[in-house]
Amino acid sequence: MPHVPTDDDVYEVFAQTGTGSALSHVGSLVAPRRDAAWHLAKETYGRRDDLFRLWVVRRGDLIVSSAGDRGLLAAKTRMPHRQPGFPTTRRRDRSAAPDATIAAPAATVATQAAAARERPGGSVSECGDAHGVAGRALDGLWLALADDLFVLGNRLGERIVDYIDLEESLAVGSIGQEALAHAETVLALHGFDGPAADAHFFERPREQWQVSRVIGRLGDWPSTVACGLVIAAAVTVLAEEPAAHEPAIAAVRDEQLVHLDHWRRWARALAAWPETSEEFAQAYAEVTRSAGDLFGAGPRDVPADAPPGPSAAAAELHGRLAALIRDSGGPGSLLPDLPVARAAGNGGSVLADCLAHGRVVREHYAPEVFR
Amino acid sequence: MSPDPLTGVVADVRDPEIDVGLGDLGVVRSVARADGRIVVRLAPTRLSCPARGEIARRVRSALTDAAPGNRIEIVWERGAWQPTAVTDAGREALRTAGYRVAGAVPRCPYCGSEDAVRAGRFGGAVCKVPYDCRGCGSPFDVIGTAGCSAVLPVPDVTQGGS
Repeated sequence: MPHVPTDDDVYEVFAQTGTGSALSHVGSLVAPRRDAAWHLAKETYGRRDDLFRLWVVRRGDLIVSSAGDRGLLAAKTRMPHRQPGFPTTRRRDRSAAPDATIAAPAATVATQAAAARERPGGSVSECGDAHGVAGRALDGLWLALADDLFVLGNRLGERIVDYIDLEESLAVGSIGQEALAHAETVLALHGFDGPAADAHFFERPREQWQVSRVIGRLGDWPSTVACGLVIAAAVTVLAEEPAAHEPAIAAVRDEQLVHLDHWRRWARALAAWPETSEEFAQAYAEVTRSAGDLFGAGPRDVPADAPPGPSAAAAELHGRLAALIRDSGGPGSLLPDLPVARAAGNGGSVLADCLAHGRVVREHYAPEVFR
Repeated sequence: MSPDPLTGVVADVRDPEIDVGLGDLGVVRSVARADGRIVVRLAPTRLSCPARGEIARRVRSALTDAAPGNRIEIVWERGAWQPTAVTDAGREALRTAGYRVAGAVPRCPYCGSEDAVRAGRFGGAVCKVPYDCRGCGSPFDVIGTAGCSAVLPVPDVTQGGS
């Protein structure tokens, strides 16, 4: 006959089977008296195993949560990024996620973005009037690199909580923040005022972006290191051009040199560690193979009467980029010998996600915030 | 446009993060007034300074109080700030708050020791680089370190991290 226990004669049994294991709840039993409960517990739970410790507690002496206490027991602060498995899970989720697709931009957005591309120069003293012919030839390269910096900065921003240690979080946060500021600085130097720069980044349709193919490679940490390295190297090389000598570009160069140094250390470390060297060598090869278009002309920057192939200036910049990357201590660069033109539609899901996130965030602000 | 007494008003605006005037911090480049228009030229300590919005708001508010009815324009001179632009009073205020300015030997603001080691290249804000004093054990920040790798030797590490 089944016995319905009341709390008065139910005992909970906790046992520890060895010094290395924890004291844990092993079951309950019904006994008329305390000493009977002890002997019953020993016989029931300690018959076959050596017990290291045994606790028997009357249920009526416990403070026990009830079914309605779930809200009370729920964690008050959810910080999944503090969980040990978080980076691995997130990387796996991200790599498994299908390519995000963006709804076709409305015609008005396209018009605004086209208006933003009309450089509102003249009134701004920092505008590139003083650049001369050589400087103007670099403008397309700078604006294309600004696209790369913008996506890289956003991507690093997402990584702030996905870090290996606190120092790396600070580094990634600073580098990402500065990459965004450098993209904005480049636009300001090319005559974009605040709203125009805003429209350039947030309202321009995806087809008009001209990111390098390395942006599409931004994924796990090894490829992020490799992408950060080649982009910082490219910005540094371009900022050393005599035509670009002004305080803002000098500051960009100084700050990017710090980034370059940071990525170089990571590259050397990932290449040296046996656990990561193979994976990093593969990521580095893929990224450097894609980096040939960092100094390639953008899809709309090539004049109709230009001779085919890269210009001499681009080839010279590319040569310096190759030398800088070669000196970085990476496992073996596959950078092409000559610059390759930037194609439209690069960036894949990385660019699509970046633009979609930007749009989602901005939807929550009143429009005048961005005026 | 000529320099203006309003320069003092802008110079007295406090930095949002450290209790020091913008003038002492070397951020104020010029203030000029003409035809109901005030043009303030400021230099951020770092291109990506996140306090630019708040600084601009404080400057506008101070100028509106001091000289109502003018149109205020704030121009950021990117890359114009140098550690040498910090005044002696600014250096003293920063030292009291636990900071040193880049460009010289990073001396501990607490005990004055020069025996300080860099604790990383990226600090809690983009304009700061963290240091540890080996004399008294205090951590402190050096401000204004754009291109700090050029100013300070970078130790070669084989391990990752910062």
